[in-house]
Amino acid sequence: MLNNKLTISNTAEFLHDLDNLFRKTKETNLTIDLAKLNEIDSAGSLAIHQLPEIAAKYHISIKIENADEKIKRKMELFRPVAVNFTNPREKKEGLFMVLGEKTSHFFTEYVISFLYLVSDILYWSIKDLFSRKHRRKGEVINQAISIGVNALPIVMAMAFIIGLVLALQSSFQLRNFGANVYIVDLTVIAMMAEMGPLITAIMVAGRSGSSIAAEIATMKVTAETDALQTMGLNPIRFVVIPKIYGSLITLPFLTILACMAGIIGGAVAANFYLDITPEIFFNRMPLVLYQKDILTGIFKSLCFAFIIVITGTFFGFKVKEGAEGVGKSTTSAVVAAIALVIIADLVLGILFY
Amino acid sequence: MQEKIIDVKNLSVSFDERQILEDVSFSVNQGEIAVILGESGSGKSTILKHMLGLFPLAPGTVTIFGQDIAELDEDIAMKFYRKLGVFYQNGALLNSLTVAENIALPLEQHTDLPADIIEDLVRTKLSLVNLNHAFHLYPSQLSGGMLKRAALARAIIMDPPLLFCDEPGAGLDPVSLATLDELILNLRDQLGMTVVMVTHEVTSILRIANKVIFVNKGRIAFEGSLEEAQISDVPELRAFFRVGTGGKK
Ligand SMILES: Nc1ncnc2c1ncn2[C@@H]1O[C@H](COP(=O)(O)OP(=O)(O)OP(=O)(O)O)[C@@H](O)[C@H]1O
Ligand SMILES: [Mg+2]
Repeated sequence: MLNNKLTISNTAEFLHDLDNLFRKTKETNLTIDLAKLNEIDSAGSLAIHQLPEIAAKYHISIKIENADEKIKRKMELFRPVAVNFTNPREKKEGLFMVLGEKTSHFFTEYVISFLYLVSDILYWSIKDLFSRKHRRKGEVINQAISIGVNALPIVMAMAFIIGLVLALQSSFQLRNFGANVYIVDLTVIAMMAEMGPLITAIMVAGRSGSSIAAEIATMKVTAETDALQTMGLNPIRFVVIPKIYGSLITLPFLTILACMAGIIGGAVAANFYLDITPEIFFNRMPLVLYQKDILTGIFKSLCFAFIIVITGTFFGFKVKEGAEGVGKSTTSAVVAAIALVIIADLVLGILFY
Repeated sequence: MQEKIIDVKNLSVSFDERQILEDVSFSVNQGEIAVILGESGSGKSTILKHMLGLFPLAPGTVTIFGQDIAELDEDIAMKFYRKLGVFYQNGALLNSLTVAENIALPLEQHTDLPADIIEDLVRTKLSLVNLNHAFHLYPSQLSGGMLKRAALARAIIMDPPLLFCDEPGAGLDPVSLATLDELILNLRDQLGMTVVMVTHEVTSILRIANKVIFVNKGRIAFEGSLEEAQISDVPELRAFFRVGTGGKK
């Protein structure tokens, strides 16, 4: 009943046919004749080893016979391995226990170690402010370029578009009330105090939050962080602190430039939809631009810089072994960085209202 | 009586409830080349990492140069690690730096030597491992064997009195392996370096080892001199030497 070959390419078919046969048959004793079989591989022999078990499900007992020497030898080589290890983590528990465990796990795994990292980074970033040891020469500049300067085009383009759209959407409403000129107030205040810092932070989180996480995770997986440590170099001071400085230096400038791009976007929309010429627009601007808004924006951007670098670092260090782990921490880092930036924006917004 | 410079006591390590090391104790004397042997996955790298203070919370004590490694704080750690050279199993060179920058890194960080002396030192160490041509290359541009040699150059750049190596010979051709063994012997004889080395290469063990520490199933199954190891009656260790020198299992 078997043709001459049972290999990985036809084993599934064979098992399927046999299953059908078992289901239909009325017999309770079957014999499987392997006489014609002259080629078998590991998948095939494991399938044959399994037959009695499959048949037992249909209350059929089977006998396997007539295998030649060669086949027998292969079946001897590829026999099922007794599995007798239990996965310690697969415990069955109630929903609430799992939830409780997850929460406490989350707390120790994330909240506490995050706070620990934050304090560590704060400590070193103050302590290393005036010492150049413990990091490579020029590293702060490198980081400032890669985190800040390289983000400039995309951040400004996005801010410009958002300023434009913001003004566009409001222009219909303002026109109804004949309050055309307030478009200036609206755009300037919204960009300065809110949208500018936020757009900048979100773009930088997407660009650099992920690359920081990927860099640190890779270093961890390839034991580079271990190597740093045993060379007497603290990975936080060597790798992370330059990024903190680089982003703290550049993010405020980036934010101001983004605000300006957004305001220009607003001015363009005002010009075309509300007949407010750039001259009127920029003459009114100083009247509505308060120092407080500018300072708020700058302060926010400094906080966001911290958040982005720390979140990237945190998820980088959290990596589990392997290249797949690097991808996972990168994704988590971006999501968490953006979420934390928005939450921080809310908190700061309430504080500075 | 030689001075004991490494003393490991009652070390236990487990990952996710899986016990890897159990009650591991051994010691290494000044000037010895101690080889840690054991089957793949038996926990040799874990022992090494432990001795380097990379798992500060695991139970057990490790004392190196009289310093308990659980009590390293930032300042002590800097001075302590200057005395160690470490060769990691997969190199662990920083990928963002060239080979030369990698090797120069400990010097730049721990000394005030002028740049040209640092460069000379790097070239000297690179030529010791036969790798002058890799000076300006990045780690990702090196072959596996070259990477190992570059990593070894970094490990010995500070002339550390104590060198840890995790399988420096794996994947090297027999000639490079012999050169490597010679280099390690030279370092010991000329500089009085103490070496702790994980390796599977029985030929190189026979060439250089003074002391053999055999790890089996998470425990130390044998600790003693090379001569004692060769006549030991621990079956797994006997198998190691027999198969390793071309005998039958
Ligand atoms: N970070 C880790 N998380 C979980 N398990 C680990 C981790 N590192 C090592 N292990 C486990 O510890 C055991 C010992 O690993 P180790 O790397 O020390 O082996 P080894 O003796 O060095 O092996 P090899 O000769 O192959 O390098 C292995 O079973 C491994 O699965
Ligand atoms: Mg290993």
